[in-house]
Amino acid sequence: MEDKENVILQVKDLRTYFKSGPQKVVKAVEGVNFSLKQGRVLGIIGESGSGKSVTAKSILRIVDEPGYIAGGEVIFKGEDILKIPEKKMRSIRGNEISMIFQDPTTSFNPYMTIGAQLMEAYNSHTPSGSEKAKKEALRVLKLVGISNGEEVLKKFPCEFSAGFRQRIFIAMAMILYPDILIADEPTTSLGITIQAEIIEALSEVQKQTGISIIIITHDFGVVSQFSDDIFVMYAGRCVESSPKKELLLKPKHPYTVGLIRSVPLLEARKTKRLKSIPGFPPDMSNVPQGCPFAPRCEYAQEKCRQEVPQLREVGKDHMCACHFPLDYDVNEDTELE
Amino acid sequence: MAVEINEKKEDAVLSCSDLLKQYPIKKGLFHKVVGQKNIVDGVSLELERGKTLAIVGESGCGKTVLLRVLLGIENKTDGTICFNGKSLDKMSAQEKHVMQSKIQMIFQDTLGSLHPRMSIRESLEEPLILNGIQDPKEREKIILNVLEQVGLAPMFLERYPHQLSGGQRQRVVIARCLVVTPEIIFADEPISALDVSLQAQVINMLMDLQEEYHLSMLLVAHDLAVVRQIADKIMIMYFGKIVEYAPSKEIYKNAQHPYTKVLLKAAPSISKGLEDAGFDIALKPGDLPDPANPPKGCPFCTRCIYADERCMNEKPEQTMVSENHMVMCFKAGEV
Repeated sequence: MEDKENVILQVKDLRTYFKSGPQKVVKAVEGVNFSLKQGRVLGIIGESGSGKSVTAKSILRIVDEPGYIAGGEVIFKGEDILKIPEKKMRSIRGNEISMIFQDPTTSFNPYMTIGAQLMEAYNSHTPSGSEKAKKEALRVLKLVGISNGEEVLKKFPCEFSAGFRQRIFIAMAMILYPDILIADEPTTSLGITIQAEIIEALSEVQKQTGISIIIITHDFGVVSQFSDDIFVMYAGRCVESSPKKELLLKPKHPYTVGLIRSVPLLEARKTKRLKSIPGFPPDMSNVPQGCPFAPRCEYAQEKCRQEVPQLREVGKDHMCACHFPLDYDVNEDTELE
Repeated sequence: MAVEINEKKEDAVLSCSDLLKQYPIKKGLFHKVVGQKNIVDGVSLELERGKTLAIVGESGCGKTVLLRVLLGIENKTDGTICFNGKSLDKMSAQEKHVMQSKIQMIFQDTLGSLHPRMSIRESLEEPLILNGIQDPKEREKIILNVLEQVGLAPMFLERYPHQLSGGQRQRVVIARCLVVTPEIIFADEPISALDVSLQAQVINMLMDLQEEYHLSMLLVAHDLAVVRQIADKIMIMYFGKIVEYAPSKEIYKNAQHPYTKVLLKAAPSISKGLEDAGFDIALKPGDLPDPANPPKGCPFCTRCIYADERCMNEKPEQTMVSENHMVMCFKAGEV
């Protein structure tokens, strides 16, 4: 928080609700705070329904009906982009903040060649003729490691595999020199070797352009290998956020601890069984009173069931929303063979 | 390999040797068959009683087809399948029926595996009725017992699949397998569609149930990290072939095939993140080869960074590196 000038995007108390009936509201995102620093990779991790995708969509203001942004601020370049007119927002979307989605198949128009789509993306924001656009298209294809760009531009999306399409999609997101790239589960539907290739391509893009990236995933392995800072979400709330190593080695929140303990490792654990978190994630239309994690938490006390814990600082750059943060060390707990 | 299978160890509950499954390649207006593509190509395996065998490979490598052929949903083209020491070809229709009730399958897509208009009770009851348990009281007893085993409250019985979360549905699917007291469970990516916090629950549950019911399990996955916890033996499958087959520990400590090494490197993990290891997976970009147009030599040669002239032109044989470690690569031990 100290070096304010480095923060490129700051989200303050973001709330996004969905109408689900005449009087009913599902609070998909309820008070999310985080900041993205220039040139860093922020990983948002959470289970399905924890509000991580909605958070990303709220930043770009593309939440579909019946959802609406109920409050909060998203500060980008000193301006709250939740309050600016839609027309101005359009010039930010894709241009300064761009996004890639989970499914690379539906993200493309099947009737247009890759080249036409890349050039359209470029020309829609900076009309400059096809020659310049083509040059830019080749530049971004090269950025994601596609060397035979000329050929690729003439082909249609269906001629490529899912992994290759996702690569092209990253290229398309990069064509307007954005400042921030939001990747919403970019590898979830892909196989394991393709996943590694895509992450490799993303980190290569990051290194070459110095772009700031928000990656949303449910895979602890992916965030820990790719991101600099990690931000954990549960039931629409921010649970814990900190730089990567701090979070992985000394997590404070019982939910983070539980997640880390339950991840299957490549190394052999001494215990045959994984330590799992009991119970199920809460039903978002009926979130329990108090701390949303309390019903599944082995350390929960009376206070947890009554009062919602606020996000507070527990260490340098380390925020945690828990009444009773744990003093936990991963190295002491994981018994490796 | 083949020799080992022929001896037919007594504890093998399910085995197959040189299994081949071909799909026709059709062309033209009248779908004329112009050739065959090998989807499962010469697979031999042996599932020991009470043990877990994991098949690991990318999507499209033929692992699901292998399960379907073993279960008899699809007919094999060639090779033998033995259940409890008896060849499938020699079984009568009735014996086959018994075998299929003893092998139960868990699919990845839980919503698709449960009938949307049937309550959980109906879904669990149906296999019992089909297997000739007429007494409703007895059925109720079995269902309640199994439901407790998978950690669901009896109130779920009256609900419908869409009212349950993914994790709860996966439990129902597992419960439905267990009601008919199977000997073998085929699990096709049972946890890859589940959330992180639930994956561990389901892995643990499968392991508990395996101990309790003395089940043998054939587990299909694409992630080597998931398999580590649960498998006794691991088979690495690529392009319809088994490229490496060894006890679990051996695979992690002493992987021989370049593809296995790629899979180990590609599996994301926290410890790699702590070491700031990148995603350098040492693989030529590309996909699985087209089965209709297979490479001349080693199936992996199109993506292998160690491939040389010989790999491109000759098919490698299955060789034993140690007593129970098979690998199919010319360069085993060198790389």
